[in-house]
Amino acid sequence: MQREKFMADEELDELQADTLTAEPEGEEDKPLNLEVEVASPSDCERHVTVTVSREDIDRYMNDAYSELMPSANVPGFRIGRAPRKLVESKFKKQIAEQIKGSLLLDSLSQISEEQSFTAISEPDLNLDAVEVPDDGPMTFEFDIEVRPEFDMPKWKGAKIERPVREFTPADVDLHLEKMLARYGQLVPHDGPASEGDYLTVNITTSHDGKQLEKEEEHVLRIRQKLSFRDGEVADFAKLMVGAKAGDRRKVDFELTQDAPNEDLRGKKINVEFEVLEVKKLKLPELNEEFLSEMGDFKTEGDLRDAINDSLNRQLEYEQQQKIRAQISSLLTKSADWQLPPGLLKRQSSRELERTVMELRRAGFNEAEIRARENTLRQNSAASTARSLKEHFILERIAEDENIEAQEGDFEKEVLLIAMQSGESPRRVRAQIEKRGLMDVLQNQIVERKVLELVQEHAKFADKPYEPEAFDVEAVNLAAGGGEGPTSVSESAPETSESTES
Amino acid sequence: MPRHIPQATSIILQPHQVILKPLVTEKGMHRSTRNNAYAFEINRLATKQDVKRAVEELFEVRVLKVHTQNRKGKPRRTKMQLGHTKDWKKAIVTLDDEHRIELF
Repeated sequence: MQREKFMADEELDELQADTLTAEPEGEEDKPLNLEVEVASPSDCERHVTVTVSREDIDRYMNDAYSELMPSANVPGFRIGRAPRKLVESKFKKQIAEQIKGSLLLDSLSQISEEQSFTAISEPDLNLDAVEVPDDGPMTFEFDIEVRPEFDMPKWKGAKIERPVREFTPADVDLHLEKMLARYGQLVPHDGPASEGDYLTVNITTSHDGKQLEKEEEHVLRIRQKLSFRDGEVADFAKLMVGAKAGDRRKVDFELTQDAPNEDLRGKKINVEFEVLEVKKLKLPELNEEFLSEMGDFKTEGDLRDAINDSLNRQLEYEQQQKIRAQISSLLTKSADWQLPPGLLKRQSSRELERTVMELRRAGFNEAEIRARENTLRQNSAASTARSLKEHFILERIAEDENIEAQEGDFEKEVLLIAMQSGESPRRVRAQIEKRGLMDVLQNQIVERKVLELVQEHAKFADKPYEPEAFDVEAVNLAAGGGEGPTSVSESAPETSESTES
Repeated sequence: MPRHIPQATSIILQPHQVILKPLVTEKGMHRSTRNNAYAFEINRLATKQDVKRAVEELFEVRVLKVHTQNRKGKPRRTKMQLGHTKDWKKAIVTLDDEHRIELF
């Protein structure tokens, strides 16, 4: 256990006290004489014990009573005429409560200034447990989560591989089809299903013959994989191709270690799909009316340009992710701090929201985001730990290089998200503010700036990039049962409902 | 000639029965600092001698003189209900210069 004492200021305080007797006006700015003991149970946690000296308590009490005196109302006396002794005995409790608050507040702010650690959470302080004693110093303690200390690795001049790709018209075609699918209509189909078709199914999951979850009339698209919140069916396409209405298909798959149902983590469960209906997707025609409905495009060329832009942005996202991963692996090589499980648990939903927001900005559509969200949820603990470490390092660089988010950056960011989701910037902003994601956004901006900075100083080696084949269909259902946290994208604006309806 | 002569009674009042409570007021504070005199609410049956004895016993001081006043209760009214606060008796006790009472 590492213990540090901060008593060096004591002599200084006495010196100051001497000089202050001459000019009592300066007394308010006098720092508190605190004795702080910091214990570190782990790299990210600090247990702080603070002792406030008696002189400081007396000084605060004195100030409080002096302030109260002119307005003290004691029976038998005109207001402000009661003797001090009487006021002190009558208002003792009230004043104690008041100075407790101000002492705590002042000492906390002083500690945060004096101490070298950077807090990442509010101090966990039990207010009711703290009492101002009649004599002797006041002691209180609290737990706080801090950014771990680490040696800054050399990031200037880092060698980084960057995925690069020029998008061809074929790529655009592929993406256009995906986009059109959003506006497509589902037409019933009598024959057997093939890959890319939609199925209306009843999903029943069971373990050892016991039914766990049942979802009725769920619409699925046949893709290579099917992901649940807590697991993945690998050969979904192989399983379902050729299915007709009335068919039943079964498959076993393994739950992940992060499944909400703790009893079944890592166990194999059985899932049965009862096909109710097969549907094919009919794409809409690319006429003028449809183009203007999609977002004020005049010609098909405009639409293609827009798609190209969006692809480029996705590439940019991919680049950023890759670069980020490389940078973080480079930086975290020497940093093997332990993150406390409590912190991970609390941060994981935040982290998820952050990632979803990043994806949204990069122009992924809601279905794709949901698929990725499920993957993230499946190995949330590991990914949270990784991204938290990344976050700490980037934040540290930002601090060292004085990088801050400006108001203009916020505007730009909101505008970009608005453009991606096709909503008005005002509404997007209101939504972000309402869900308290402004912090997340700010972090994101700062991190992007840092990444840009690191990239400026990095040496790049280009590498061709193959876009990830999007072949995962997502079901927002925990197959193993058990209450999981509600989905982030469920509460988000549903712009792409049409893929499922 | 005293305006109120306490009823002759066979009850002997104990010191804590004589002194009901100290009167802590602005005027009282002034008297205590200027004249070393302290005001108390006392039993209506108590005489000056009773008060002197009681104060000397309770506070362990020497009493020089005692003034007493009978205070009439005030009329009180809530809607149609007429009432009266109770009559009470006050004593102002002057102490010897060497003695003081800390009332709070």
